[in-house]
Amino acid sequence: MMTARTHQIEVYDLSTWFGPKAVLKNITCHFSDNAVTAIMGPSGCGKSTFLRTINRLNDMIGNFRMKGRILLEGEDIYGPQANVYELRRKIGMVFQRPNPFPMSIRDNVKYGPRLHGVKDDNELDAIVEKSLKRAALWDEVKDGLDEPAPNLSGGQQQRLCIARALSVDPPVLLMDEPVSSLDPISAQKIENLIVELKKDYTIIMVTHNVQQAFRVSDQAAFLYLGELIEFDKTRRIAEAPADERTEAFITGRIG
Amino acid sequence: MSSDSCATSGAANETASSAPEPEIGPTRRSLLWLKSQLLVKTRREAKDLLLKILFAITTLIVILPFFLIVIQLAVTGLSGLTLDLFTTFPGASLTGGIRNAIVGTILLVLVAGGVGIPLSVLGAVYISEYSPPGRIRSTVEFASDVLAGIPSIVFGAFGFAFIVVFLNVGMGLVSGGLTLAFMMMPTVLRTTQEALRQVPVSLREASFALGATKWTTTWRVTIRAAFPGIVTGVLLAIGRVMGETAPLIFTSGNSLTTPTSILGPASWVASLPFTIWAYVSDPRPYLQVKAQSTALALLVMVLAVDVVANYISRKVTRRLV
Repeated sequence: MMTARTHQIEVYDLSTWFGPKAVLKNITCHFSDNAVTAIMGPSGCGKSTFLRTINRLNDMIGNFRMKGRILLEGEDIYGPQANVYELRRKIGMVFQRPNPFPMSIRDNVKYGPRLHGVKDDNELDAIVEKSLKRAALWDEVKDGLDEPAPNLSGGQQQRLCIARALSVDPPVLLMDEPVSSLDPISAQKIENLIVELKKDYTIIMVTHNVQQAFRVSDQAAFLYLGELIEFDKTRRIAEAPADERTEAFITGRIG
Repeated sequence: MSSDSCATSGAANETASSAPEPEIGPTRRSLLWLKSQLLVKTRREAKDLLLKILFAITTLIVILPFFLIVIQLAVTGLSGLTLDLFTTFPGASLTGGIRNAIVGTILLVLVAGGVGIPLSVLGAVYISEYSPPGRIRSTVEFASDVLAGIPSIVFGAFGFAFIVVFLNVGMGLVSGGLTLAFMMMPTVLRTTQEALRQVPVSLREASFALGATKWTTTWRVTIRAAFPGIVTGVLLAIGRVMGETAPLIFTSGNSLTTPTSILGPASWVASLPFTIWAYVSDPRPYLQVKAQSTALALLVMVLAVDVVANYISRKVTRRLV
């Protein structure tokens, strides 16, 4: 089936359940490398579940079941040889609400690399600086790296969470409505950051906000009641949605 | 009312010194305030006011015992509170100090804490982080809630029957400390569990999403975030068992000096609550005074532990998300 790897993340015939309830139904799609893919859809359509299936975060939920295959760099992440810890290193995640650890800014960013065996202090400091710069937070916090992270503003906290995710150098970055809990100015900053980051990372972003998906993404997926209705270039979907449900969603009639 | 409007207009004039404002003394000011509070226009307002007074009086009654205890102990016990009381051992006819009881209480709390705290904290971590919600979890929760409500004398009887007699440990530091440990466990278990429950799921998920294992996440994120709550629970439990007499009556023995061995009669140990009980039961008047002084010392120790617990919980919870 796999001849040459075409995409970092490929999904084949994915279905998931929580207990008896089907959440995702037979989803197949390929996420473009070094691009932002927006997953849109009304509340409860399975956007977050989809995202959390890609880094196996749903494994923790007792009654979760899945069928189908998700390939990361050609390897089945749910396969018997898969190493879930290494997988999660390669697939970073940013959550809906900023969730910095209750420790200093520096320790928040160091946490990931330390898990994966980086011990040298100079190396860790270099990672802290690089990650915070990538997340456009360095200039604001460089004089207070040992301040508790929860003292930062919401937008700064979210950028710190992005820096924390980048600290282990994942090729893929998942974002679950990363700006929905922030004020417009912070949201703007993070949107710009996402556009900047796609040069080096494959970004999959869940969003409830159609305008944001159009502004930020190259590719867009529209999920409705667990089904993948459309998956195409964002521009194409914005200009001429192929399915009437997509059109209803982007014009605000559903969701 | 009229003086109120006068004051505001005076302030608005900016040149308050030039305006011949009537001098309002503090007494008159509070009388005016009282009058404004008691200004009753309708029946509904009267009812409102009456209830307010009723609630204020109830609150006063509720907090009164605390102040009465402090006053009573201060009046009767303060005179006996000398440096000698803390530094000397009891001498002939129980004259002298209560150093045996102070050291004894500290030793007992150390044994109780050393055994009880790790066990109950680890137990709480297992229940809230590892065990799936269901029968095991609810059974443990039910058991520890019941355990927390068991009267302390029952712990004393259990400690005597099980540790002293059945396990043949004999009375002394170990039996007394273990009985207190049993008493601490439900409190520490439940408060730790509560503190862990307060840690947002998203913090754990952030750690997992970076490739952390369950144990690393639990140790470095969850327990760390819950730490202030855990410390508070531990200190409150310590404060509680510090003042318990009943669990010690049949288990710790008593002693005029500090224990010199771990087991056997030489490990018999005095404690502050036990000493208070013994001295109050004694008819000699100077022991009555010493009982009050000892009670005051115990009260101060327990209060100190509570204050530390309070400080930690307030100071560190603010830093959490």
